[in-house]
Amino acid sequence: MTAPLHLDDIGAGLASLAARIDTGNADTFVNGVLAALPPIEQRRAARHHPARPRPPRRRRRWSIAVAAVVAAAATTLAIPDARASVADWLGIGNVHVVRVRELPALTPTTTALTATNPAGPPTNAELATSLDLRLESDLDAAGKRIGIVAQRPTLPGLAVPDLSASGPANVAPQIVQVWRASNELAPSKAVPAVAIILSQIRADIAGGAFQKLLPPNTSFTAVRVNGVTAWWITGDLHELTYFTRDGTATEPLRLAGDTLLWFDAGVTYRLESTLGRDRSIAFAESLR
Amino acid sequence: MTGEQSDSSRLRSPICDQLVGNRSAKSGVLITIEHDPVDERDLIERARRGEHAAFGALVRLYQPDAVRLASVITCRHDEAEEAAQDAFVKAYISLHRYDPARPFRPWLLRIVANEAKNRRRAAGRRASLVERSATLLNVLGESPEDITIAGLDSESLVRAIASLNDRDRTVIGYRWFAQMTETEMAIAMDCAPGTVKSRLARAMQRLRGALATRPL
Repeated sequence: MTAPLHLDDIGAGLASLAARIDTGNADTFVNGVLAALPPIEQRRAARHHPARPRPPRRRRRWSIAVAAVVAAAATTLAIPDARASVADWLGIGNVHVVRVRELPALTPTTTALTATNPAGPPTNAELATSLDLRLESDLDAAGKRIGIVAQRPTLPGLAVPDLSASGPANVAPQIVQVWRASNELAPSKAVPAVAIILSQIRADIAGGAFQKLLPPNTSFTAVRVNGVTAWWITGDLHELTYFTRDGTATEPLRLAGDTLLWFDAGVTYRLESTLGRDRSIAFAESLR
Repeated sequence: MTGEQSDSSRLRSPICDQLVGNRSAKSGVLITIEHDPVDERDLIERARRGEHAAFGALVRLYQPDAVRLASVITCRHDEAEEAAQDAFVKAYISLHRYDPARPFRPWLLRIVANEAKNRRRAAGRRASLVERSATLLNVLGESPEDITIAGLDSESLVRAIASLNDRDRTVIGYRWFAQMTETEMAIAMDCAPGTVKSRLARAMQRLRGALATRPL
């Protein structure tokens, strides 16, 4: 039987361990922090507002890239006023929200991707393609593959989605459920064949980030979902794009409608729908 | 305790990164770095006025402590660096809440610890801490100490640390990885110095227990 370890020896072991941790390149670290600092005006605005802007949660490489995109579009991405600046850059899981004065123009290709099929309702394959998703026959298996437990609403009539999908390999690990527009579900202005898109996105370093560009007439308010702070985005359509963690925009910008965003247990939830605020929250709280 | 750590080893300089090399991996000695309070106060004041360069100097000053502390809490070196960076950004945003009459380092490292704990919880479902500790082990170089400190090897130690709860890992992180004094820890933990002693003692006992049950 060995003698019990002395606490001093354990302390020495801890000190040794600490000394051997590679703390990385200081210049790279400092530059990463400085690139993410908000301007002083934003910090002052935050003092007088309960909603505190959160720093980016993902790798600095893409956050710098996101900042670069914002800077490159400086003529359109100016802060409209001090109040808006508080929400100018808010991170929810791996979704970043940026307030803009005007939305950048969509490219014709992207516009075509989100249009309805004039020949009739789009097939599931066409819908998936237009949303840059991959059809999945087994949502649970798809979720298991990327480490997400698929959650389904328990609201009457909405238990089964019309389409199950996952994100493409080069985009954030995500599973997506889509409900088509119907007599009961109003069509989205952004993607008219669709009424509800529920995305579960694994928020970890393997993924990148969605970026939402909000024009002035799109409001952004905090709500609660099962006791967790969520964000309700409503008003004019906003734009959605995606950045991989190395800063590359891999998904074309597309228009998006009213959206409820929240983050829970390492998963970002994004519910884009025509349900309205209260039903969206009820939908979210019914997920099991 | 590291008996080698003495007043003579305390250095006074704001240029922290140049001193990191003095943290000897061979002897296990950590040189405590006391930052020049005058320089620090000046940097903080300038950073509060929005001078990014001044805040950058503060980041450079505390980056090693922050990364080490976040490493032991997250048990993932890659996440630790990100957590530390995010914590610095949060600290900058919150600088107006910092009371200049109180020490800056515990205020800052508390933010680092909280950010690291949040990240660990967020990622908790995907991997156990024991699994995650493997990534921390990967960044530790080979060292003769692996087999010379009371039979303790790095792997056993890291796995034992990983098996502790957040609170114990944080208090051990403050003391041994960020090299905080008990006074600093009391500020960071918002408790009396006596409470720090008892919490640290309990955490160390539990760590010893975890080491005792390690597989041979």
